[in-house]
Amino acid sequence: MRAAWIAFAVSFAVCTTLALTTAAPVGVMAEDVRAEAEAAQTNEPDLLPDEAIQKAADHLEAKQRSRLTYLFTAYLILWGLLGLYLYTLARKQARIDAELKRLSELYAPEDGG
Amino acid sequence: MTKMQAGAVVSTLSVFTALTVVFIFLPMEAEMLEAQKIFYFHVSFAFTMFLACIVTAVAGGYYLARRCALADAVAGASAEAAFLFASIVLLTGMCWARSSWNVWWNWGEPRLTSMLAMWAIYGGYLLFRANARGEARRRLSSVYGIAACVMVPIVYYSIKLWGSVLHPPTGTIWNVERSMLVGLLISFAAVLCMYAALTALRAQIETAERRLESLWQNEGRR
Repeated sequence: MRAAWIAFAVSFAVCTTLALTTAAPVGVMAEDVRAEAEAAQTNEPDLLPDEAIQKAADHLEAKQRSRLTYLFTAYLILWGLLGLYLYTLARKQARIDAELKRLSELYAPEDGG
Repeated sequence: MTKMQAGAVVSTLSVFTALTVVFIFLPMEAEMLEAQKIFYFHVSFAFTMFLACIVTAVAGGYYLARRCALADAVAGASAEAAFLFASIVLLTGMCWARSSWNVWWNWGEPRLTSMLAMWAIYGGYLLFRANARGEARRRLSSVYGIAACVMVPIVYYSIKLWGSVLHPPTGTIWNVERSMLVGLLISFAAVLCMYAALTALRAQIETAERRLESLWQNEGRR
């Protein structure tokens, strides 16, 4: 059971570290900002170029944050459910150990005598 | 090192490899970008869940034919894994759906609805096993496990049978880009190792529980 817990903890730590180091910090690509800014200026011709770029960057950043939130949520659910299952197995194992102890206590005086 | 410890080590190493490949080496998908990284484990858990359902049915059949207690324990353990993996598939799928299709759930989508039905059926199997006792529990849960396995082709071919609103057609998975397919296969191997280790651990606990039960019964008769 301890081995399973260690395996779980290591896997969870690796997943979190990899997810954090590869996906963060949130940033957007210049060509995406340019395309988004052009689209924004087409929709709103009164928009100044600087305003369009700012608006595009904000919009793309918000979209990336949203995608990352779903990615983290999905992996959090995955590890959360696996952890919960391991916890139920650990409780069952603990109950078995306790019952074995009770049984050995019951039989110990007989064997000893 | 015991067999269980070896299983835990192999699982950890395979999960570590899969996570490294998915998060570091695989390219970002053009449309779904970061959220697409849910795909590798979501699909791997789905395929492993199908396998767990088949193992439950085969072990149940073996129990009915040979009355082997270990087969019953494996069937129960595998059904628990199938239920756990189905929960993971449903919930991670919802996150992916919200990110890609802008909806959490769609009742008109046959894959989602049939998957939910399958989850409920295996939930029923576990409830039955938790409440029944003795030989009836083993025999009836074996029959239940065999009958429940019919959901595997139903879920897999649901899109072919009823048409899809959101999911890609059945079999598209094998036509993805080569690097993504490699990533998927590595993740699948990792989830398979995890399934094998969890099922072995659960079956071991189940066997110990049954032995203790019979020991207490013998103690009561004395």
